[in-house]
Amino acid sequence: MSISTHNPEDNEAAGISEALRRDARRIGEAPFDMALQRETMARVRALKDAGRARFRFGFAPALAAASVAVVAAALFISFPFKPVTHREAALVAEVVPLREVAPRASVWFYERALAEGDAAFSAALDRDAQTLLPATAKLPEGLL
Amino acid sequence: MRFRPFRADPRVSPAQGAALGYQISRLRRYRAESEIEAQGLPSRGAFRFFASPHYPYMKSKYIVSTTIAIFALTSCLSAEEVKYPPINPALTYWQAAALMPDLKGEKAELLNDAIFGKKPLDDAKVRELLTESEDSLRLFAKAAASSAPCDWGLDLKEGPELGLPHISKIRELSRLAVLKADALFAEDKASEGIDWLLLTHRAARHAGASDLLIAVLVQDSIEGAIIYSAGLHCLGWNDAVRKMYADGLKTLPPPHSLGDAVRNETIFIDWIERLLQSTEPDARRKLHEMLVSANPRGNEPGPEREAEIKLLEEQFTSGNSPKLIAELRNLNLRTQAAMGMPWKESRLALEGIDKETQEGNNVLKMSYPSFESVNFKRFQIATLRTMLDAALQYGPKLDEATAAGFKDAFDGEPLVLRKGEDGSMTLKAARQYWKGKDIELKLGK
Repeated sequence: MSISTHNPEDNEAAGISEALRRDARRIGEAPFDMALQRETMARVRALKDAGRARFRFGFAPALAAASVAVVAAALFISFPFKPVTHREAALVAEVVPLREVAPRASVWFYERALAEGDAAFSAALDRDAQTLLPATAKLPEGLL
Repeated sequence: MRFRPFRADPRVSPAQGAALGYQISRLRRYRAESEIEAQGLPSRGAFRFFASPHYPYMKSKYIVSTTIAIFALTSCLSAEEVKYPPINPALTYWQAAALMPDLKGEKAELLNDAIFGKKPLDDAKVRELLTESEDSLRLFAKAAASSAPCDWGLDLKEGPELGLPHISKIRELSRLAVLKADALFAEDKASEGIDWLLLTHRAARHAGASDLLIAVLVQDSIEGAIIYSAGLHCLGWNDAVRKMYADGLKTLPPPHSLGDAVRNETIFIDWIERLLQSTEPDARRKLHEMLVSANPRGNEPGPEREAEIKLLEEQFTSGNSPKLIAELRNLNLRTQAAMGMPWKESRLALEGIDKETQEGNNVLKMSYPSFESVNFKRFQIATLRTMLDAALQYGPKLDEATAAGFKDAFDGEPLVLRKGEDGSMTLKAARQYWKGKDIELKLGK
């Protein structure tokens, strides 16, 4: 009893297969041919090597791309970018904490001094150099 | 793995291993090429490499070895930096400022006299001041020599309220450093003195790091002081020392430009705009007070001050504000353009802008400064740098003809050399370009 399947093509393939086996049994086995064996093996190796070469050839661009990406990433991370100038942030409207008019040693203070002339600007800088962060008093004798 | 023998050998560093690997890959490539030649293929040109049956193999090996070499070399070079990363010089300058001696009274005068070469200095007092400043100057030198970017941590969104306390401190530290160089020149230690001048040049450029107008002006004023000091000593330097200084100047980071600084002046306009948009009840009043304070009459409380504030209130109406802000931005753009022009054109353009501002409404008049003096300083410092260049190239051999080979930055006029009876020389710009101001550099004491 033959096994029936839902696909009629499967039955057809099984029939062809059986016919091929029958034909093969009719053909006598040829004597072993060393030259043919070597030639066949050489072709198989050539196919194998070609496959490898193809693999290498495809591997190289991928490796190159990956290397470039890694180098670029390393450079990007280590590049000494100028610190953010906050210019973009400055455009965002927000409530500014207000202080006294013309805060000490501020841009406004110095620009006002500059508007009065070089001498006033220089005097403002001299005064701030002496009064901001004043030097610590001398240590008493014999303390150290 | 081809590099294993080199890696495993502790006597071979990763960089050496990578370099050897690279050499081996090159040898393999040449061997492959010689095989191609033996087969009668073209022996020259790119074809020889690409026609090789080993091409795919060589290419991948070439990429791998080159990548490894880059990483190995980079890691070797930066190993020291990873362990001791360069420090933001701004932080070290602050430490130097904290250790600076109290420079009031006599010491402040001494420093001023030293910078401007007003009178002969008292060696004992100079030595005492420098001894007191030793720790501070050591940190100053360390900061100036740092390869890290200088970040003063300035929050530009504070606009004109932004504090610049570091500016006066770095200017004072730089003056001390110039005094130190002067003392070394006096002791015939010229090359050490040059090192201090170069460090101070670097510090000056660190001072201008924020690209704010005030900061860049201080940068230029420090560099001006260094150039004046170098001028006084340069006739005593031999060719090698002068060349050392000239070569050192070429390795410095470029100075910050006043043109860029004008671009950053927009922080002022951004700040006004934010205050106008603010919902804080006192914001507008504070803005008006601050603008009025720019006017000398507006500093003292009184009816004039109140009248000015009232006028501003009328002009800063909600409907008018966007127009005023746009006008300020337009003026800034035009000023930026003018600051990139040659002297004559920039002067004319800035005069026009100044006239327009003064004839405009109160807001423009009070909030937009004149840039004419700033523009003059831009050309003045450039001319001083050219004068220093001339002095370093020729030293005592400088004469009228060689001096004339150098041009001022204003109109490109040849520099003029005047020789004094005491053996000193003065390099001068051919004429006074602005408000009767001479631009000159004294060479020799």
